[in-house]
Order: sequence, then C-alpha cells, then structure tokens
Amino acid sequence: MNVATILQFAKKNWKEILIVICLLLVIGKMRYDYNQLESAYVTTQESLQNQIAGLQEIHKKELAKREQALREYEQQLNDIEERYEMNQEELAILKAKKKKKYVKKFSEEPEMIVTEIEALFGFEYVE
Amino acid sequence: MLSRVLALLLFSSTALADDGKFAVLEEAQPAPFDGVLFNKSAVADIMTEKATWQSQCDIEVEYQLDVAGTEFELERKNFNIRYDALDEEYKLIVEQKDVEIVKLQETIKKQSPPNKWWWFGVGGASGAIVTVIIAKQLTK
Repeated sequence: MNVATILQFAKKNWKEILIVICLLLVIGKMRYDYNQLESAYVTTQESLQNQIAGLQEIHKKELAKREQALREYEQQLNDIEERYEMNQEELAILKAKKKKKYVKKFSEEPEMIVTEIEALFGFEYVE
Repeated sequence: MLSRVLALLLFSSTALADDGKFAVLEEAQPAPFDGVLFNKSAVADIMTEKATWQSQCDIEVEYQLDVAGTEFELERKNFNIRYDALDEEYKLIVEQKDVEIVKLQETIKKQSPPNKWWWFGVGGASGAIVTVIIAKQLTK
C-alpha cells in the first residue's frame, strides 16, 4: 500500500470520505458542547453544595449561640430569684424585729402607742 | 443563710407567741366612740406593715424590673444572633454566586466569543470547498 494507492482510493471514494469527515466533525462538536454543558452543571452543583454546607455550618453556630444565650438567661434568672428570696427573708427579719420592738415599747411605755400611731397614720387620739 | 433562717424563726416564734386580737366595741361599752379595739400585737403588726410596705414594694419592683430586663436582654441577644446568621448566609450566598458566575463565564468564553473568527473561517472554507465540488460535479 503506497501513497499512490491511497490517493487512488481517496479519489475514487471521496464522497464517502467527505461524509465520514463531516459526521466526525458533527460528533466532535456535539461532544464538545455536551462537555461544556456538563461543566456548567458541575459548577452550579458545586456552588449549591458549598452553599448547603455553609448554611448548615451557620445554622449550627446560630443554634450554639442561642443555647449559650439561653443558659446565661437561666443563670441570670436564678441569680435574680435568689436575690429576691434573700431580700424577702431580710425584710421578714426586719418586720419581726420591728414588731418585737413595737410590742416591747407598747408594754414598757404605753403612751408611745399614741405617738407612734399619730406619726405613722396621722389619726387623732381621743381620750 | 442559715443564721437568717434561724433569726427569722426566732422572731416569728416571738411574734406568734402573742397573736394579734381585735374586738368591735359597741355603744354602752366603755369607749369614747363606736370602733374597733386592737390589742398591742395587732397594732404592732399593722404599724410594722405600714412601716415596711415601701421596702416590700421596692423589692417587688426591683424583682420585676430585673426579670423584665433579663427577658429583654435574651430577646435582644436572639435578634442579634439571627441578624449575624442572616448576614453570614447572605455573604456566603453572594460569594458562592460570584464563584459560580466566574466559572460559568469561563465556560461561555471557551464556547463562542474567543473562537468566533475561527468558526467563521472554518465555515467559510467548508462552504467554498463544497461549492467548488458541487460546481465541478455539475460541469462534468
């Protein structure tokens, strides 16, 4: 098989060869376009996957922060409750002391009731 | 704390030992006018309440304000956390979209504008060749 034979063959069957070449070109072009479309699809898919992963991470961080805020809130509420109870206890002690003082004062100095009631309530004393 | 409770119990027991009593006095009973008679303990109770109501009120107000303030603070924190998360989400999406746009632009650039003269040339040459071949065939 030499060059002359090949040329002879090509000359004889040039139409078929041309058709095959055209077909190969069309197929090549189709493959190229398909690859381009696939590349665009992969790009979009990667972008969406990155977005999903990022959003999940952000959501996780948000939940952790909310948990932390809730824990701090509960701690503060406990502190407030404790302080409130302590104040109530102190007030109860103060009340008991005051009452004891009043009772003692009224027993030892009955005339003090008059002065105290007048001072506290502004009532008029009638003998 | 324990000392407070003990003190409270001590004072309470002293106070409870002498409970407050009262009586309604009517006409003809030895009193200058109709009225209500309280014993010393009851009067002491009333006077004590009167003398300490301001403190009781202050304690209640402080408690309610603290609770409301803490709830508000939690709400504020939650809003801030939500805001930060939305801001991050926005930045992430914009960043990813930018990357996507750049990549798609690269794909598009490969597809047509840079090669358009090449495609034009190939198309023109193919057309010319086919025309010549057809013409030769027709003239045979």
